[in-house]
Amino acid sequence: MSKIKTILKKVYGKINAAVQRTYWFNNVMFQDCRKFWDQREMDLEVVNLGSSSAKCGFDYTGLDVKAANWAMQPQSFVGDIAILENYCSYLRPGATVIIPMCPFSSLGGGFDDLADKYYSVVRFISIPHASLRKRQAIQDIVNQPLKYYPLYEIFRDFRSLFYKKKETVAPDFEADAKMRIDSWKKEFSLYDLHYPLALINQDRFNDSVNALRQLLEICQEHGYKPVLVLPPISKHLASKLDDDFRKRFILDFVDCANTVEAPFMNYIDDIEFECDNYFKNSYLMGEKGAKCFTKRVMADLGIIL
Amino acid sequence: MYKIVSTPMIELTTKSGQPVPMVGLGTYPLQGEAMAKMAIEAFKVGFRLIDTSDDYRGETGLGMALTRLSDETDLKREDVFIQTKISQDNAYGDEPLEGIWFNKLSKYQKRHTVEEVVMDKVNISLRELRTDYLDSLLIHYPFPGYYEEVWKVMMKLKRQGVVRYIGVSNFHIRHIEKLKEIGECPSINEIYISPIGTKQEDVNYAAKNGIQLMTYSPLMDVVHGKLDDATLDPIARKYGKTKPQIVIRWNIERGCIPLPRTKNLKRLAGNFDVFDFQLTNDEVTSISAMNKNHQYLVESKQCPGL
Repeated sequence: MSKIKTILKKVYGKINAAVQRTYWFNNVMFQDCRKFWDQREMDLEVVNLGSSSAKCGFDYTGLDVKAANWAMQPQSFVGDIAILENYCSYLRPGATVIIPMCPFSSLGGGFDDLADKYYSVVRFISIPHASLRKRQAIQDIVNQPLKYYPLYEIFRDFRSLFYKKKETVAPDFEADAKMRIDSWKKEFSLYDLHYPLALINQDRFNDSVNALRQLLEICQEHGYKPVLVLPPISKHLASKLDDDFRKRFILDFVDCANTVEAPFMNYIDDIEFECDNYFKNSYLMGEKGAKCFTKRVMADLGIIL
Repeated sequence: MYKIVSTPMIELTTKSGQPVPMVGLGTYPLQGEAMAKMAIEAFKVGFRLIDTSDDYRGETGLGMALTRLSDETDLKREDVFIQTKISQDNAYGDEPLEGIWFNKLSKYQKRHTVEEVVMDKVNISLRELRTDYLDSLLIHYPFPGYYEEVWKVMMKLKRQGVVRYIGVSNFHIRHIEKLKEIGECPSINEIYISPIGTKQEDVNYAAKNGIQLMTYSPLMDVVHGKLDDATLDPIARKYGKTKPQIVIRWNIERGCIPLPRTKNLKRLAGNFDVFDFQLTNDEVTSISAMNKNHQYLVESKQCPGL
């Protein structure tokens, strides 16, 4: 009887291990977490934090630099802080920490209701509003995903055995840019990008300033070199962010938060990345763009020649 | 660069005035009777320094050992050196109190002063250890925004005679510099050091500032096969010792007090059997040359405030 039990336990473990390799586990439940679970390389000289634009914008493969892309999709500055605090032992003294921004970081950067997946990546107490119950629930999903695997996902996983997912490129960048601006307006309850900020957005702005300041201070305290980077966006999207918007939402924000006078590298209109080929949609860079952009940033920072 | 010290950075003594041997016993995760038995055996072997923490769940067992001390050994409480720590309860993954104390987001911390929390923790430690004083009390981690306040209370406890030595654990130089500004430099810093993560800067800083470094999990990298056998094996053969003993001795030569832990009584004696030989300067240098700033136990993932 005990032999059968042992065999069943082993089979159960194997099936759980298989579920841990599924699209659902790695891209729905714990998107971007595996790189943290698998992080082994110490003595890193460069890391970037950030959200979607950084996740797609940085690719260090092929460069002669010990680096890691620690961006998560999505990730506010509060998430950046949690990641940096938990993983700073992997950095060498004096390492460069790239803090990527996006056009609306000034309103979303202070968002502190972190996704549940953070429980699998950082210490419980690094998460604002952490819940012990939630931690236990997430840990259970990590350890025994079979109990939670939705059956309909089996079709997607079965298909993925035969078809390798290619990078999807938006067919119409202009329409995509318009859609993104509309989505951001909805996300932040903005009627118009030029109206004065409503009370809630004034609070969000201040929260974002505080979060970015804290992040920069952590870098300074540890002796790291923080660098603020605004990755390129397509010309279609850039054209929708006029000077007034850029001043209020980006430049004024950086002025308020950057108390340690970290370098601010703004690639939003960089002529080198003007071509749509570098992007997969109006906002995010594609594989080719990420490689070129990362090389450019490393060169601008003097890390590679 | 790698200078043999072989003497402690400061001389720790027991209350009875005896110098504390330069190897202590790490005790996580021993509990209850297992903890008590191990502590008694350790005292019999020659250990005098026992390291625990309020969140290791081992203080009760160690207290049992202290009550039996004079019956089972020829030692008194004053002849041994008991070190515990002030934590925020995160040694175990199932800690329900994790994040309750020394955390700005905790509603419980907002209701109490740091002094109230520290005093509560110290009183519980004294009760469980069945003693009326602690030889050494450490702050377990540099709790962001709190460790300076905790330190002030610990200085007070030292003045009151409740604690003989006050120190820190998992602190970096920048944290200790802040404590020095408050008024007292820690006597002890317990950190993770290994031949593949030598932390020479911390060793130099401790020597310069009169801080006794203690090293937790000093055999972690040996046990996990992370060290270069080609370096350790010839040295071990030369002295007729094991690789763990060589690593323990390497810690001592650098002036550090290693705190190996074991559940095995045979190995317990072996871990203390390191005082009949000395490594040469070249041997210390060759072991230290394994350094690649590696951490098997990644500190920032374990310790708040790093």
